[in-house]
This record gives sequence, C-alpha cells and structure tokens, in this order.
Amino acid sequence: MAKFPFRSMRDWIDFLKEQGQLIENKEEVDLRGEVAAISRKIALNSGPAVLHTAVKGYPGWRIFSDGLTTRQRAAWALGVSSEGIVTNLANRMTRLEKQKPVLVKDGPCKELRFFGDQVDLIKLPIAFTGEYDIPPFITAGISNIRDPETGWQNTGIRRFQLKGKSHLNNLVLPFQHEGIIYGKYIKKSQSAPIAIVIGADPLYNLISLMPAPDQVDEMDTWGAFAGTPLEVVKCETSDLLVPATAEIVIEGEMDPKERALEGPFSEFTGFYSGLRMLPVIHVKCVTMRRDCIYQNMYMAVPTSEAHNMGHLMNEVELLRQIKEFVPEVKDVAILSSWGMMTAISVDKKAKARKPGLVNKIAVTVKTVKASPFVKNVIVVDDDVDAHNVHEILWCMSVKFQGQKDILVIPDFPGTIFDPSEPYLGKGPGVTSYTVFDCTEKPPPYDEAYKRGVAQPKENYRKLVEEKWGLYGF
Amino acid sequence: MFEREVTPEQRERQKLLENRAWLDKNFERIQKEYANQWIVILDGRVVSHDSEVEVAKRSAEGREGEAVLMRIPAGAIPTPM
Repeated sequence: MAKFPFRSMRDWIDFLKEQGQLIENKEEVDLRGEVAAISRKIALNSGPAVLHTAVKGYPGWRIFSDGLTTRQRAAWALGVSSEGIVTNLANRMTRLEKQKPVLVKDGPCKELRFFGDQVDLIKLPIAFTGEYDIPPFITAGISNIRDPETGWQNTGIRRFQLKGKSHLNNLVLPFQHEGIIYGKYIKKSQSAPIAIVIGADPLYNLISLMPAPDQVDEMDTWGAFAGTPLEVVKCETSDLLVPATAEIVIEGEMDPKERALEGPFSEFTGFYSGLRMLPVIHVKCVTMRRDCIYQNMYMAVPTSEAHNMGHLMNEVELLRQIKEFVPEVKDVAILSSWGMMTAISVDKKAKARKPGLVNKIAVTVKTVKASPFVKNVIVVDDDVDAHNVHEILWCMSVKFQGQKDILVIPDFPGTIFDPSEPYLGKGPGVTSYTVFDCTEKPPPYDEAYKRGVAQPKENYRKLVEEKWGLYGF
Repeated sequence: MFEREVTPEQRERQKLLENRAWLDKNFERIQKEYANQWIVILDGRVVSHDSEVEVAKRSAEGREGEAVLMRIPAGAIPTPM
C-alpha cells in the first residue's frame, strides 16, 4: 500500500486510487480542449484526480492530472494533516533538517533514451489549455538549472511552449531564481544546460513551487520533508540531477542570445499573457519510462490545480516570512490569482494592545521575498478562518468602512502579469497596493461585536460535526 | 513512444508548428499590417483577419488543429532577459 513519502508519480496514483480519489477514464479524450475542460470541471467541483487511458492521436499514452487540485490531496502529498495546514507547514519549515539527494546509477526515467534526431516532442501528448494557447504548452514541467559559479541547482515549475520537434520556449524572468542563474550564463556567453522533469512524485511538484531563498537546493528540502533523501540520477548530457523515478526528462540547452516569440498563455490571472521574446531550449535528449504517463497541469481562469498548489506553497512562505517581523500574524490565505487577493489573520488580543498593528502588517507584507504577487490584502481577526471566503466577505460586510479602513499605496512594484496595471498609465509592473482593515473596530465602536457572533452553542456545533454521518446526509 | 507511426493528429500538430514558425519569422511585417486584429494563419499565410475573433476564426473551420489564431498586439514586444 503506497504511503508518504511517495517515491514516484505511480506511487501517488496508486495511493489516490486506494483513497477513492482517482478516476481512470477509459473514454478517449481530445488534446485540443477536452483534457483541459475536464480538469476545469474537476477544479470547480473539488473533484478527484484523473488518469486518462485513451488519448486521441497518441496511442499507448496515458495522461495524469489533478493529483493536487484539492488541499486534502496536497496535505497527503506533504505528509501532514489538512487541518491548519499552512500554520503547521510554516512552523515545520523553521525546523527542517535538509537532506542532500542520493545519486543512484540508474532509474526508471532512463528506460528509454532518445538523442539528437530521434527526439520528437510532437509525439508527446501536450494538451492545449485555453483556446488561444497556440501551440500548446508543457504545463507540469519542472525546470532544473545549475548556477555556474556556486554549483547550486535550482528547481522550479515553469511553462514551456512547444515550438518544434526539438524546440521549446522557456518563460525565464529576471526576478526568478532561474532567471538570475541564466543571467550568469549570459554574462559568460555560454549556453545554459537545462533539464525538464515531467511526472515526478507530488512532493517534488509542490517543492518546485515554493518561493525558497537563494542558494537553497529544492531537492534538499524534498529530503527534509520526506525524512529521507531523494534518489536522483545524472542527466545524459549535463551534470544536472533529476528524480530517478520521473516519467520523462527533457534535456537541452538555452543559448545566451537566442530569443523567440512566446505566448499567448492561459495565465494564472485568468487572462492570456501577452507575447514576449523569450529564450529557446534546444532539446538534445529525452529519456522516459517504457510505458510512461504524461502529466498535465491545468491553469487558466481560477480555480485550477496550479492555483491550489501555488497558493498553498506561497501561503506557507508568506506566513513564515511575515511572522519573522510580525509574530502576531496567525494565518495567510491566498484567495485568488497567486496572491493578488490575500487574507491575513492577526491575533485579536494583541491587536487590541498594539494600535497600528494592521498598518505594520500592511507594510511588512510587501517587504518579504514571497510577496511579489500580493496586491490586495484583507486583514481579519484570528477568530475568523482566513481561508473561508464566506467569512472573509462577512468581515468585509460588517467590520469594514471604506472611508477609514482602506490603505492604498500607489505606484507600487507589481507583477507584469496583472492585466489591470496598464490602467494606471505607468506601464506594466506598477500597481496599487491596497489593504482592507476588516478587523473588529476598537472601543467605543465595538458594542455590537461584544454582543457576540450569532450562532448555535459551540458544544452543539461540535456534536453535529461528530454525528454528521448518522443524520443521513 | 517516439518510434510509433505518425498519426493524423500529430501530422496536424506538425502543420500547426510550421504555421506558428511562419508567424514568428514574419511577425514584424504582420504586426505592421494587422495590429489590434485577430488573424488566422494556415498554409504559411494569413487567410483571414478581423477585429472580432468569432469572425476571424470562421476561415479556420474544419482545420482548427493546424491553424494559428492570434490577436496581434500593437507596440514593442518585451524581451525580459
């Protein structure tokens, strides 16, 4: 019986099946929109993961997706309870003992090897996401690149647009670790070796989304979470290390100067990204399992598997980093679009003693490294569940007055992905940073709050939770 | 997996990539002519253009798998790195 830590995507698929959280779809699916539309419906309904076993035009291939679309499945993948997952993980991150990966001679990811002219990415069942992502993108590709000066190997999930039999575009941005490392190759006028992993275990997927500090090897963090080192193999064409049990590994190089037109792409903002001139990966080698399973990750207008994964890992880092400066912060919940709408809960008793605490939180949030996408912040007291949108909207309804409780910092660094930024007339990358104070108002304006939250007695609420299955619901 | 016979869907994808490669190569000229319009590229040329996507894409009917359908922006294309 598969259990944490899951050593491969196959272990994970077996586990999900045992939990009743996997559908094996035998109906043929079309890559041109059907695979994406199925994932969209799964995300909207918090549905199970799916293994498609018949793909039109791609005989013998299977596609796995939505393994991490729900918070419960992400919790299983991380080996933690879903209850209080963000605070638990944030606490755990401060105590992690990193474990370096272990190099093994061989692994299932090398059962088949294709070099040079044998490589044909057109034969991978890369699914379209939105209607206008033309050509389609590899969306569950985890990129690995090594710092030529320090030897640090960075791992991060990114998107790769299919551009030919052996060409991909790579969204590398200067503020990301991969961009910083690639910048060093550019300075040296050298091509950067790169390895893209598709179909790794779920922990590797989640770690690849974590906004980790500089010079931190995500594979070490894998070992810290799992309590055992990750088994890796060396690539065929470089010294990059990849999980031995991955389904597919695409090895290539990025020329320091070559750029090609990339996009549009179904972005996390729910609109298509614009076109950009981005680096090109020339693929030199592909290795894979003999009966490999392609992993697809849907991302488009919220919500999606990508949003669920990204939001969780960003929440953990945001909470951990903010608490270093404001320990009174209790929880962080990304409500939409990778942090562009975020809720933060604060210790209610501490707030009563410390006037200005909400403003302190407001300023601190945008100084931490994990905050580039944070744009609108709703602050609530810690007797509210920051992850519950109904409760957040309730706070906004009855604990908020616009003319007193909005802090706007104009012309703030934003994300170039926000389609509303040009509206400010300052070009992309400039935004309004806005904080909504939705905490209970201080004395003497708190009389209504002191009358208490209108709900049944707590012991009956707990009783009903325990007996829910007995009522016939 | 790579050794198997090419299927019609994969052949279609190959044509799609060729059409996209043609767009990338000729983008500067295409942008001058069709900025702020939706275009459809088939067989290595622009076969239709319109400010409304639903109008433009009619010419791709039946060949959606190989057609490039894109809204051409005005202005400089950013190069982040």
